[in-house]
Amino acid sequence: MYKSLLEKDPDCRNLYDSIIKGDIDSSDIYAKSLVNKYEPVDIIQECMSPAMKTVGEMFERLEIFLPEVIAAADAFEAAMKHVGPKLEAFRQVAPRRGKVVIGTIQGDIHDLGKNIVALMLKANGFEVYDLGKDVPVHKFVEKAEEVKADIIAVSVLLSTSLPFVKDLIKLLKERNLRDKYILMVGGGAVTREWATEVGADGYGENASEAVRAAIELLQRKR
Amino acid sequence: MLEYTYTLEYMPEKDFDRLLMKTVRDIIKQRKLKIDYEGIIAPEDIAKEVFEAGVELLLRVGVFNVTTSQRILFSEESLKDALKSLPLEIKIGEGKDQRTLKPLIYNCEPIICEAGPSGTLVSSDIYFETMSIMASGNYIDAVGSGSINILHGREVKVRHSLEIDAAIFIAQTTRNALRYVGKSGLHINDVAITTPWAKIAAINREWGIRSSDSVLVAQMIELKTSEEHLSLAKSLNYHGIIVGNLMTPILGGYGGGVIGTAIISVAEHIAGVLIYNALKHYLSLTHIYYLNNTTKDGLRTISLVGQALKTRSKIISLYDCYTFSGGGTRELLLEVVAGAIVAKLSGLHGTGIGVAGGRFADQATGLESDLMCEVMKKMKITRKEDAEDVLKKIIDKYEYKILEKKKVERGKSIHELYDLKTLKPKDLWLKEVNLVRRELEDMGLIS
Repeated sequence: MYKSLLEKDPDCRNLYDSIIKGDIDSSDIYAKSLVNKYEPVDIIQECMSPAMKTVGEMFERLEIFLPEVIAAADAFEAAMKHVGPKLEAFRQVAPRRGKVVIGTIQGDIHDLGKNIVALMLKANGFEVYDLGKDVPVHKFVEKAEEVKADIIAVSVLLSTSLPFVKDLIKLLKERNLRDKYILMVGGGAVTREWATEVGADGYGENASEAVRAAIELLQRKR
Repeated sequence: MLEYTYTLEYMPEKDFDRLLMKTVRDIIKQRKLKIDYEGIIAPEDIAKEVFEAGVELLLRVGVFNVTTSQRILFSEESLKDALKSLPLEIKIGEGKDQRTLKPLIYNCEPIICEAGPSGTLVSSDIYFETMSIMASGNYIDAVGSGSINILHGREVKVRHSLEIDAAIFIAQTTRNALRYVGKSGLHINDVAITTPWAKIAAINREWGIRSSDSVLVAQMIELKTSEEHLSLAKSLNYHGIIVGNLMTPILGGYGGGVIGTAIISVAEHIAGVLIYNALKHYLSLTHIYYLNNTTKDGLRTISLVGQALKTRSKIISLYDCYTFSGGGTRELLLEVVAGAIVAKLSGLHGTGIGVAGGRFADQATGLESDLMCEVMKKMKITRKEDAEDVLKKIIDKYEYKILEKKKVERGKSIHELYDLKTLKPKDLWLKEVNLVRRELEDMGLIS
């Protein structure tokens, strides 16, 4: 019977626990040990990503708050310092979820929600290009073209920045790029109805839903 | 404004966020702060500690200027001078509609209660009617504006010139509404426009914002400002218009839980005095998931901040009630009542309501605002222990729905709840409000 790394190797379990606890030092130690024994993809998929998934679920249940999520992400990154370089060699064969260009749209400087979504997408295997906040509409398109993204994810908290999402859709259509990208929207100003109305492909009321939607939409497209 | 001694230090914004999080944690650990009480209303001893923790946080991390990527650091002496310089009262509004706003230090000062859509969306074609309804309330002392997203058929976009037209429209229409209901001198607390410089266009003695009104200057999450915001505050100071320091600390955000968020919030109040010369402060706490501030933890945070400010300063703060429930619902009214009780017993004045966390347009009506003001002004219960029982009963009636559902259902709009020609509430909505009011009477909360 197949046993996952998490079940069979205490180092994997320890790495998993270190990430959940946000313990950078321990995460560093166990990742260093694991890269000598396993393929980087397996370490990420069986030890690290499950930890971030658990963190996401705990955050959703409000058992932990943002500082703990960020600490977990830091511990994840500490492990990636060892796993990442080896992963490059496996890039061609490793299953990768997809590339996401994410940002808070023009005129809006609220990035807390967007940062959480970016963290969760990254932890779930997406390659994330975070453009930051107050991002002009054309920058989303330019970056998506540059990195050959699968998804453009836009966050909006201010109702007076919502029209810029429509501008983004207009720009994508003008350049015949609308069907090339999955467009996801979220943030305090966005409702599910509004997302549908403007023609976005996906909506996330919170980070977990955004990740679920991104995975589903990508699978459907492929 | 920035007249106090300060130093500047370059720092990437991400590093500031990390520093803030780490410092909050350090302070909580060093001061051994924890919630070791059962109820909602914060005991004075922990509130005092939280105030000192807020002071320490501000001195250690400062305020971040996102335009220059510098943090502004204040000396302890400056901070103390700023707090000392605060007045014991300010006058808001004019003539017969003037009110005196005082810090609620001794529990005998009059409560001031503002009514309005609290920055949430109002359609421009019913803006006059909405503000007239708000201003008609029996228990209100001032009005707050809502924001608009469409004007003359065009979408109002942040940092576009149409925002100037929107600012003028909001100020003019609100003043006209006040005149229409015979309260022309009533205080207007803001023109709800996003871009700071657009607000300046609304200053006009005849039809707009006067020196007896206020304008809100926001701090960004958390403890952040910008040159645009500092410039707005400076302009308002020169015009002699009261600055309202608007804070939206996130419960579950960089501060973590109740204690950390309360510490940040106290620091943001004091920062508002230092950087904006603010005389009014808007405690618009926002839950990271629900966008409201009426869950048990939200109310605990509100109480802790209110009690901290009350026991240690002359800062005048208003509880900005943001609910989870949508317009026209019984739960909305219960959330409002719980918020009113907590604010009143924690030394806060009142403002709001941000119905459904501001997710939907046109959900704010006058009745929920007036109910909040009525409870704050007529509350018979003065003992915290008695209030806890009532609070528990009320919160138990709505909180489980928030925790279970997590997704906000759109309530009813003002079109469904009011006759916008007569400006009177429809029977169904009035009945619901009266039903809740009777329940409150039965609980001995109001008479």
